[in-house]
Amino acid sequence: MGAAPGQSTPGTQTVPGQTPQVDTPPPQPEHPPYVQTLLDRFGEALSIPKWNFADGIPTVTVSPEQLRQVCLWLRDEASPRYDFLAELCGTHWPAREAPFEVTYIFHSLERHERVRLKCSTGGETPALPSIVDVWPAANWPEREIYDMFGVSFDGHPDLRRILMPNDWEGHPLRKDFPLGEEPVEFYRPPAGGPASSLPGSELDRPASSSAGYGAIAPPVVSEAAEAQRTRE
Amino acid sequence: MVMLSEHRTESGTMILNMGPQHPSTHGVLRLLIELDGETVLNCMPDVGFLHTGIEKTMEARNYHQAIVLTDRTDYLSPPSNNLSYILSCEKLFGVEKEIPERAQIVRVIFCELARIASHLIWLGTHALDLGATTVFMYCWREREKILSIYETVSGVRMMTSYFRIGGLAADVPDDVADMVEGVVKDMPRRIDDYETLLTKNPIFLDRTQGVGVMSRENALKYGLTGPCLRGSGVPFDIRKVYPYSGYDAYDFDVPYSNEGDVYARYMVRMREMRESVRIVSQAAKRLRETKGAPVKIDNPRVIFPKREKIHRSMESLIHHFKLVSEGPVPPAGEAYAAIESPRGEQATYVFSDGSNKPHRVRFRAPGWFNLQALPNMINDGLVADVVACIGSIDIVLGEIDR
Repeated sequence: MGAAPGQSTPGTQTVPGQTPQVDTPPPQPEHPPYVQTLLDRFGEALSIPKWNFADGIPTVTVSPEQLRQVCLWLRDEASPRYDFLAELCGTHWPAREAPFEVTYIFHSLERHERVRLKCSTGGETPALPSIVDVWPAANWPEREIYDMFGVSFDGHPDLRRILMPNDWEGHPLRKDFPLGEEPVEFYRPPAGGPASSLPGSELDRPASSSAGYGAIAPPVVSEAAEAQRTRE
Repeated sequence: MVMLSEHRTESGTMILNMGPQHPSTHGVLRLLIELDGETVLNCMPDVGFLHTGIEKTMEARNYHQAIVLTDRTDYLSPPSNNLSYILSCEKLFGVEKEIPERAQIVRVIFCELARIASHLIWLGTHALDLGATTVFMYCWREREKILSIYETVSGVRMMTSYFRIGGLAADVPDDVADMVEGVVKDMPRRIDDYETLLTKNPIFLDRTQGVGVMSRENALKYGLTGPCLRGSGVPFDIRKVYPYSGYDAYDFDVPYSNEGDVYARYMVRMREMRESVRIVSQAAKRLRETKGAPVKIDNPRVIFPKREKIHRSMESLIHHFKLVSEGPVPPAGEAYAAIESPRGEQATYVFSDGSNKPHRVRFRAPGWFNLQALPNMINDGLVADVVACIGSIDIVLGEIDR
């Protein structure tokens, strides 16, 4: 818009129900000390993403090379220990450079704190290191991400499709995978006479014309009705 | 999926195919069980038979339309699924702190009634699997009363879809407080009845005690949540740890047990039903106190304006039109919202790209993680104990396969 600074731009902000334009993400909360420890320990492998995390869980982006070390550190050395894998899921952002983003949420039962790791991958054969040997709970979620997004996990003991059939082609949750649908088949009563509205009655009616189900029948007009119409 | 051509292996063990259509698998779960005589050497669950692509479908609906799809995941406690999705959306819209008190009370009542109803089905079918047929009928009788409350409030017995982003679809009818109090008054006596039939029943004890043991370490490693984790000695409950919908205002305990066997999980769920009754009775009292209070926020960007306002004010009519035609539009971002469903940590993770449809919705189904631990639970056990273990996990394949 060529609006001068300070001048209101009618039509973009004042229309009711208009999409609120998010130019700058809301300010991130200061990350808690345990995230700072993590950043100090791993340095350049980690970064704080600029993104709107509306749930307030502290988030760190990690490079695929360092993923396993960070996970092991969180489980064995961090204070508090992150002894619980709460969530592991994938997302497809086609416009990004590394379009497949895998999200890990770890929970510490000691202090009930959570931390979220994000790890992205892309290319012809997207792949990430598996963390099944660190957390057995990651087994099925990693298989699901492989199934739904086609991201393979190096070192996974049993990487097979889990929800879709083995011979399925493609990865359904990718954005370029079309959402399938079946056309609705409308029922049209057979030609020849008014249809009864009782359920199942069409089965009893003899086939009065060669037009089968689905053929377009001409409107049936009785002689009496026609005479009535012409009188009027 | 694995196809079998040989049922007898070279080492003399037998591979038994259980399911997908088997009464004790509570849905369509297939298990491949390797047996040496009657001992289970290995077990491999095979899921996906009920995959309907709910997550994919939600990407093609706007935020409001997608609510009805959430009911269909965990079909034994639809209000819990609604709530986790709604909470996640409310975080995205930034309205989670504005939800009126009465809406939160009704949400808590619905979710706790859903917990009781879901545990009743679990109890009935679990006991049925183990040969106790009587409990089954009683459980369904009590569940029916809870479903009548759903019907009075939302018009639907099961798939209620009654919560909205920013509150509720409508206020509850006046007689609901009486109905809820009727259930609260009735349930403790009924739970006593079930316990008379099972808790000290020697056959039930033989089938459950020391069976399917999950140690505390294994339960954590496999990501178990809910009664399965609490049965292994970890008192972890989202309602206490990350209170939502005003759960911190209610007085209740988190039952847990250290044994980690099928019986421990049974005891945890039985005591949980009593705790739920406690919560509902407190909530019903507050429901009477807040009669006439608003049940939705006054934010036309998120939720429909009141009907009377639509008739009188042009602005409200435009808001209504925009919400129906385009749907509410959150800012870009993501939000993870977890609740304690009857089965564990049920969370919905909504990713938004700033359009009127979710970019991705992910259900963190507790059963998805809990079922993974099944082989660990039943290996080296007896084949007859497999049904006891499946029943004690309380799986719902709708949420596992989604």
